[in-house]
Amino acid sequence: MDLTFDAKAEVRGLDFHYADVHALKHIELRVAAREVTALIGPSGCGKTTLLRCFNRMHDLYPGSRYQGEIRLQPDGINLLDSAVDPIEARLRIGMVFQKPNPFPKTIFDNVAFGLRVQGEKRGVVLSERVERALREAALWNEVKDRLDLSALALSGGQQQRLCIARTLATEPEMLLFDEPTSALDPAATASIEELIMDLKQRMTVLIVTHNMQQAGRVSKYTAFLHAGELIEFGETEQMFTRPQKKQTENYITGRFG
Amino acid sequence: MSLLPGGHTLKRFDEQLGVLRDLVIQMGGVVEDQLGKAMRALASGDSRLADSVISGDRQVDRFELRADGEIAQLLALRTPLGIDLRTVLGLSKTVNDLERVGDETKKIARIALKLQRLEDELGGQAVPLMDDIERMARVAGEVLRGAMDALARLDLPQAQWVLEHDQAVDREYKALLARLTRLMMQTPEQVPMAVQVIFVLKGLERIGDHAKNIAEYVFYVVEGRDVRHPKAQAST
Repeated sequence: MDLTFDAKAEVRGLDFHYADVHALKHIELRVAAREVTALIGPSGCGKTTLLRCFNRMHDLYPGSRYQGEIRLQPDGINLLDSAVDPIEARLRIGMVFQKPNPFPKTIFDNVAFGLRVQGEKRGVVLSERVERALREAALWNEVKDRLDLSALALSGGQQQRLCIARTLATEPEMLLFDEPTSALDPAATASIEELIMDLKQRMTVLIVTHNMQQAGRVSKYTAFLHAGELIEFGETEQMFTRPQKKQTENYITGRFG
Repeated sequence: MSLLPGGHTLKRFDEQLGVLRDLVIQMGGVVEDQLGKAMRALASGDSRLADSVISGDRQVDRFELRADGEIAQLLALRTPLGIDLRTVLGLSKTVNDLERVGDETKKIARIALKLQRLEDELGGQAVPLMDDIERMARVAGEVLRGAMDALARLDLPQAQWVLEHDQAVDREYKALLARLTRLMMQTPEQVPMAVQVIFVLKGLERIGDHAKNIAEYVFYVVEGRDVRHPKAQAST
């Protein structure tokens, strides 16, 4: 298929092992810049594993091995290169998890966390960037009068937007979402999806979701993985109406054994 | 209806798709039957038969309502994708075409009644070109049945056959229209009946077009390929 777009990241010949489990098999994938790309597939297919390769989350676990590369544009660095500092990579590529995971700190300190890691100490700068991040995450109006409150006092949907604000504060180029709404009600889900679509104006989004309708609503491109292999990649509209591969058809229509 | 080995993990989905498919196939059968009766009423002048076609259209409409209800439910509750989505869309569009075919047959039945009155008024004048109309109606009926068979079996060669034979209906329509025009010029006293015959021919021609539409949906359902309006597609 002829898909022409500027790639923000290019996965080339990526193999990944958890100890003796071959979890990703020679993945080739281009992630379109300033668009939303969805990773779909049955549980255990490797989609979350692939997502986590982008910000080197696997480095935290011993025994995991990467082969191949993930080139991040515009500078073309290989994110998997051991010379690349994972902390640096995570500042450029933010991640939002399935369950909101705010730190047991105030709302303000949660959002300011990454900036402080970067060494920012000036109160005015911190305040200004915390406000901007909270506005971008569509949370500012709800929390502006209680920034000193514990983040744990927020609702689930608010906590998830707080986690997004925390990620946005360091101005990443790319955002990774791992089933960001699976623990949220429909209204909170809608506000997160709306936010994702706003964010893609400025950054590249890669999202893992089990919800086909969500993939359909938010993404321009979809990649289908099965048993560690990338089976099919294409425009979401085409993948959901007339996928080329039988395995994709079986999965999206709910015929998977 | 599934092209895929094995049904859905969710069995209720298969059942619901099966119910919809059966409704549409049955609706097609009723519409074919209506067409046959309307043509017999036209040829024989049987006004009771014509009346039964006119009242029988309500049955076609009831099928449309039930099928549309099933379609809305499937879309809202099952959010089908891939082949399932194409199947639901194809069946939904088929329902529209069948309802229109039903309307055309009802019109033909009404014309049958009108032609009978004209026959009485005009002192036993015969309906012009009756044999030719019946021949064209047989071809239109075959094309419609072929389209419904193609849909029921998701049979692409059969769908292709329908596309080609609809052109035969169109050719027949043009040829008969030319003959009727000449007839009206030569024998103006036949004009009142000839005008009614033109409406019948037009109805049959439209029925061929609806059958062609249904055959085109079969391509969409099976291959995801839209074979409609090639000129419009070339310019986009």
